[in-house]
Amino acid sequence: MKKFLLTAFLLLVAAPIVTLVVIAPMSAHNQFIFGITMIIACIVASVCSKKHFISFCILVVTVISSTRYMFFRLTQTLEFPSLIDMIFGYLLLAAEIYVYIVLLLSFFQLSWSLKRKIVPLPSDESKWPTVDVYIPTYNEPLQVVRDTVLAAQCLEYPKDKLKIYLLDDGKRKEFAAFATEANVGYITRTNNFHAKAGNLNHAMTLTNGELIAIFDCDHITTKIFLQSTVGEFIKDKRLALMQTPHHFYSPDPIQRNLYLGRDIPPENDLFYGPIQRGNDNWNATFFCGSCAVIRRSALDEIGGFAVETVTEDAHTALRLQRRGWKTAFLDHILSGGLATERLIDHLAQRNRWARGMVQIFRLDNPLLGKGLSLAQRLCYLSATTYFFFAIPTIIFLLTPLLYLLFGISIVHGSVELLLSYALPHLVLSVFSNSRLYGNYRYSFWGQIYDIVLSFHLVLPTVVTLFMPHHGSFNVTDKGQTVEKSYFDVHSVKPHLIVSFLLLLAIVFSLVKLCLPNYFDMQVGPTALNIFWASFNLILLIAAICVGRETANKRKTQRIFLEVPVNVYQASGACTRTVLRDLSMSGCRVDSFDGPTSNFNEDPITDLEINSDITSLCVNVQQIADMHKDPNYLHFSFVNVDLDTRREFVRLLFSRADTWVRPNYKKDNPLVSFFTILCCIKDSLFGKRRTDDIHVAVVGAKNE
Amino acid sequence: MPIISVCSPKGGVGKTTLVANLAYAFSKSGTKVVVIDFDPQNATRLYFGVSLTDERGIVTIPNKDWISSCINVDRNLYMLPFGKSNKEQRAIFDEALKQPNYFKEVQSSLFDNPDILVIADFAPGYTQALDSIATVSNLQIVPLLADAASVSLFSQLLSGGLMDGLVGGGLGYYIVLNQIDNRIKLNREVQNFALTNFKDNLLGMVHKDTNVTEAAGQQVSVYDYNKNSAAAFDMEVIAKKVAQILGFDVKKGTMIINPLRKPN
Repeated sequence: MKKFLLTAFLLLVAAPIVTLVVIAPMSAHNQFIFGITMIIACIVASVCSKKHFISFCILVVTVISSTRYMFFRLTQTLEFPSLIDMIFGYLLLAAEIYVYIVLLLSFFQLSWSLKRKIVPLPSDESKWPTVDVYIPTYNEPLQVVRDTVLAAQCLEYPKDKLKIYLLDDGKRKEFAAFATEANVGYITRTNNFHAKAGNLNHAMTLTNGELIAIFDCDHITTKIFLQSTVGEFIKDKRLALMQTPHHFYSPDPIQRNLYLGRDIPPENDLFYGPIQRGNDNWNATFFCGSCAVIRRSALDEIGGFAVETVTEDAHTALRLQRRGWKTAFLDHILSGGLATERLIDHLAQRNRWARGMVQIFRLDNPLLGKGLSLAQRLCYLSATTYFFFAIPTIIFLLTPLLYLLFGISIVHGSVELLLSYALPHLVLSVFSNSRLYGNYRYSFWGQIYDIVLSFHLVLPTVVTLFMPHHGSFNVTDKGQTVEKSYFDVHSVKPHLIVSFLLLLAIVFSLVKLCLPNYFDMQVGPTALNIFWASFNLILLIAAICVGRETANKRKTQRIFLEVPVNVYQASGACTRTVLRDLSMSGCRVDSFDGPTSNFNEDPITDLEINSDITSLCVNVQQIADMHKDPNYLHFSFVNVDLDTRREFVRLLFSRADTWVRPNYKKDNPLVSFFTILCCIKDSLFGKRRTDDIHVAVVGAKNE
Repeated sequence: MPIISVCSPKGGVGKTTLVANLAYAFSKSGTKVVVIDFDPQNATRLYFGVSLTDERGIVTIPNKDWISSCINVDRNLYMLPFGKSNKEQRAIFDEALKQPNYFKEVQSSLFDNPDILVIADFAPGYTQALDSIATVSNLQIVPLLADAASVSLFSQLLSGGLMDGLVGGGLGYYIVLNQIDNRIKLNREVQNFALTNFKDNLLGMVHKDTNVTEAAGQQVSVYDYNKNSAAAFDMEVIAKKVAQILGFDVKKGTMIINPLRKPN
């Protein structure tokens, strides 16, 4: 009854009113007043309340204002003086329609997010399912893979129910030797068919755990990963997949080269937070290839991991869901990995994702076929079409050039009228996005991420759209270092060219405006296009700054860890001091004075670390410190055996509290834009990121 | 105040070192401590700066009130050396100790004193003094080395068959594992063995640390010799645990060594 009344109200009262509000024509003056009223109402509502209902109202107002703008665009601005104007005019319109649809889809995805709780495992251990941990690798160095395997061994789960397998597609002897020494399973195969998906499918034929946990070879898990994820599988027998966030403890190229140490949410936070939580609400979480648990029986039903596309993960999830299996997303960071190190690797990785998603769009379109609910179709549609953003992004970047350089007028109508419709639409979209997920992505940064990628994604997305079987899997390089700072001209060449054109157009038009006697320029449209071009130029320069690769020589990541240590000296003196930071290769401790502090005569030979997690003793060699700070002693570890290394992993990476997402300040679009300007300034003036340390503090053992 | 006896079935396990540094740890935190040496070696005094030529001691005055014979060696810290003796003197001394309630009656002014913590050091193995003091002693501390030989002692201790059943009076006995060295695998294994078998009865472990011997050589506490010494820290932790077990207030609850000090 209640539902019926609501539907009746929506259809009979709300729908006509909304339609009227959307289509009612207004003069520029009235439309301005209407627009400003909507903006002020939203800001006031937003300041007054943080409730979800208010957010929803703001979204409704935003959708109305954007729809009104689109209606205006479609009905009043499409009169073109010539064919050229018309072609470009419709291109821009198409880009705007794309953005409008993405806006609606993202509001749908993000408005209702599910904050899933951990389902505890039953106290009766005999009910716990058996788990196989797969760590697929192909060409990554052992140094990267080793800690991942050791961390998996630190997982807290009954020994007889947990098996760990290193799936080496590289057929490397040293990997086999390592697996034997570490006492984990080693699986390899005679061919490399279907890359990672094939590797996983092959392993499935040789193992028999009820659940399969998958970690990319650089994703180091915490000890509570299985305890946090497996419970849900016992509770819900139709659950096929539990995905957890990918968290990167090394800075990605954008963080390293552009943030320069500022507290700005990294790119993937939006996806592994609001987006996947929103998907989860519609039972449409998709598999991201790593840090996830999958039910074997579900995989068996769809014939294993999907091998048709280069993003086997998302495609596998789609297939599972078509068969009615559920998927879930647990928003707890339970593992940490390495981000792509350089811009060029970042581009290659996104290139693969883009091709894979377009492949799924073509070969197994979520809108078509059986088995999905409407909401699931929309969520998967949003994911598979996401990478088409490249083309509209480029259209928006280039459009102001048309008017400024060639005088092509692609939007019909007066500047006042256009602004009166466009401003509320633009301001409110920025505002409501900021309200919806401002803590996960600051305003305008999304555009920068898009611009960084867009020129490189046009070709792969278009080619794949028409030839979906084309192309192969490429492996993302991880764990490399940038030896020397350099400028990656190749990756940002298109950005440089477009920036140059925009700058040229801006200067050219300003000169024209200043000399009205010689040139006939309309002030309104010219000023508008100059403003637009300048905005584009700023975002482009930010994207170019990402190409300034900052040297990152540290091979392993340092982590702040405050625990007591005892140092052994050659004379037999044993001294207690405090560890300040630790990496897999060395550490820093407080220096000390006293009768034994002449380290040249009486060198420190061993170091004993005590914490409530583990205690271990390791051979060390004192090394000179770059900063010559007398308060600290620096050591590198020598002769670390595998058992000691596992204890290091336990101490550094395996703790339940290893990874905590920092609390970022609330987004403010104006502040965010100013921050972008500051980042650009710092980057252009050669400032370099100095701290590359992930902050994690562990309390000392209570003694 | 309580009475702590430090004894061991074996010699050379660091009894006297532990006695001296526990005494320093308590006295430095404001507790009045009397150390009594029941070991005819008469060596405990050397840890407290008592002169080598000073031959005074309890062995010659078994029936005198000891409290007036205490030698003040540091703030809050007093010492009763065993004294220089011959075989006959020791026999007389042991005879005197054999009196029932010797410590309750003859030495009651010292052993009943609410202001004084008594720490008694003994010769290895069974001695008459250890036997007699059981009537008043609150706590036995048994230092053992973290070496392979100790493992056989562990099992004897666990079955309660050591030192003629003496161990276990009062609040029972506690083990201190001395000279632990985590560089040595066997040493670590002995530690693990002790941890799993003695559990709460393992009072603590003390690192093998030359700072301890250097400090003894200079007749100062290891805390004064090197405040950063690992062994010093370990022994201070043990002192705090002892206070907790015996339920008395350490007037100055802070550690001499700040466990997480900031660099200067």
